[in-house]
Amino acid sequence: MPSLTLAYAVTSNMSLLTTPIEIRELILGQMDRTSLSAMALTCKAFREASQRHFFSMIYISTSDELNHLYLTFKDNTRLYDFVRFLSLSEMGFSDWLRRPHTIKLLMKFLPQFHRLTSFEIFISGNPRWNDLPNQLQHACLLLFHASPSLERLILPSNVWDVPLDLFSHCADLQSIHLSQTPHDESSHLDFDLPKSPWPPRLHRPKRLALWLTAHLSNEAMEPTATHLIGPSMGLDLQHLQFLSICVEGTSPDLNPLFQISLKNLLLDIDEWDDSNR
Amino acid sequence: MAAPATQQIKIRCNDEKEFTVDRDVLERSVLIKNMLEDVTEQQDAPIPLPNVSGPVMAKVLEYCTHHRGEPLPSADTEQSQDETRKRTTDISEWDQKFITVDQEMLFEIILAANYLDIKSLLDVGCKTVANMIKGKTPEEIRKLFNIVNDFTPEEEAQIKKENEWAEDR
Repeated sequence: MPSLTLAYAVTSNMSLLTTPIEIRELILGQMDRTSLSAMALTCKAFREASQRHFFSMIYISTSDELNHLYLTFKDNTRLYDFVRFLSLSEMGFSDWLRRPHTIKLLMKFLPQFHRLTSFEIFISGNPRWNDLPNQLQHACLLLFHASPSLERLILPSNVWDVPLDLFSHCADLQSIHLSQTPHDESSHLDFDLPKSPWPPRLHRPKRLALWLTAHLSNEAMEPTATHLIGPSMGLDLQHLQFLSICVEGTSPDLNPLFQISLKNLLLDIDEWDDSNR
Repeated sequence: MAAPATQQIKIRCNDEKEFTVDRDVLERSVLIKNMLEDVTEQQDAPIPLPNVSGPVMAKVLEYCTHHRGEPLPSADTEQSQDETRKRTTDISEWDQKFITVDQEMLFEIILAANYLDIKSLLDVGCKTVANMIKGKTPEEIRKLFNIVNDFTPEEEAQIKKENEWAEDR
């Protein structure tokens, strides 16, 4: 009889409200944004957890969206800490990210993010990093400093000459995905970030991966070699275990400087396994 | 030639209910699989499962028996599944039928799957709850799960304002 009573006690009153927090998190992780919004409005117990999922991934592709979000966050600064993935994107021929008003706003907006694990910026056209307005570069720098938790960085636009030492203080950085061509999902399924999990996995990364995917012309190879894999690169890659460089283009030959830099990089890596070459 | 006999394992639930189950079925549970691997000598004593009751374990075993032989997710596939499962609520027909139980049993199965470390069953349970919530208003969700609204009208207005930027995205 006592065991029956115990069994009843264990199985009784089980409901959504009484489930442990980790289970609630898993359930919320399966919901779309509309459901999360509704859940946040049900009761205080679900407000914070639902909003943490609701705001975990943010895509901004117009100036209006940025303004709206900035005003929302300005009044509720706790919301900044819910964001894990932030994407800023220019669509088509728009240059909204490079306009003075936007940059001014970004200078105030980006340094507020302290818990980002992934950041993506897409600049239309073919600007190099050094061609971007100084203040936009600076706004990005402020973000990198504010979010040392960054694990993944995607720069799928033509800012392939961004110096990697900018990110040298991001100790958790696992992956830098650089591409001179628009993001091609069919060949980069492993980095399909819009579907990345939340909450982030707690285990430590198994590898430090550097992905360089570039549609490189001869003209582009030299600055790439200088800024990304040249000897002055500030990022510690001593324990790099995975390197993927995809060179696409019409030119059959690799730029000599690019070849030498790549060779030097491989020589610098202490624990390089032959199977990885 | 006779097929090799499958090892039978005994388990005991928190209500003293015991089950004798094929090892490969039980090994759908990573918790039990690890326990069995840690035991070097064959033991006759049942494995105690203090956090699961008999009726819930019977459901869990029904699931494990149906899915026996399917590959267990490795660390790498877990990662990709994590990525692809995000905000997808597809559940197979058999799993849907299996998980059509009352709310209390549903949450018990979820808790048991979490404790026993059966990821696929945990996913099915969590997706089922997410599906129950999908398309419902806050009031409908409260009614469904017996939740009391403890917000003031001002707090409700505040949350609506915070969330409105994402409408139609």
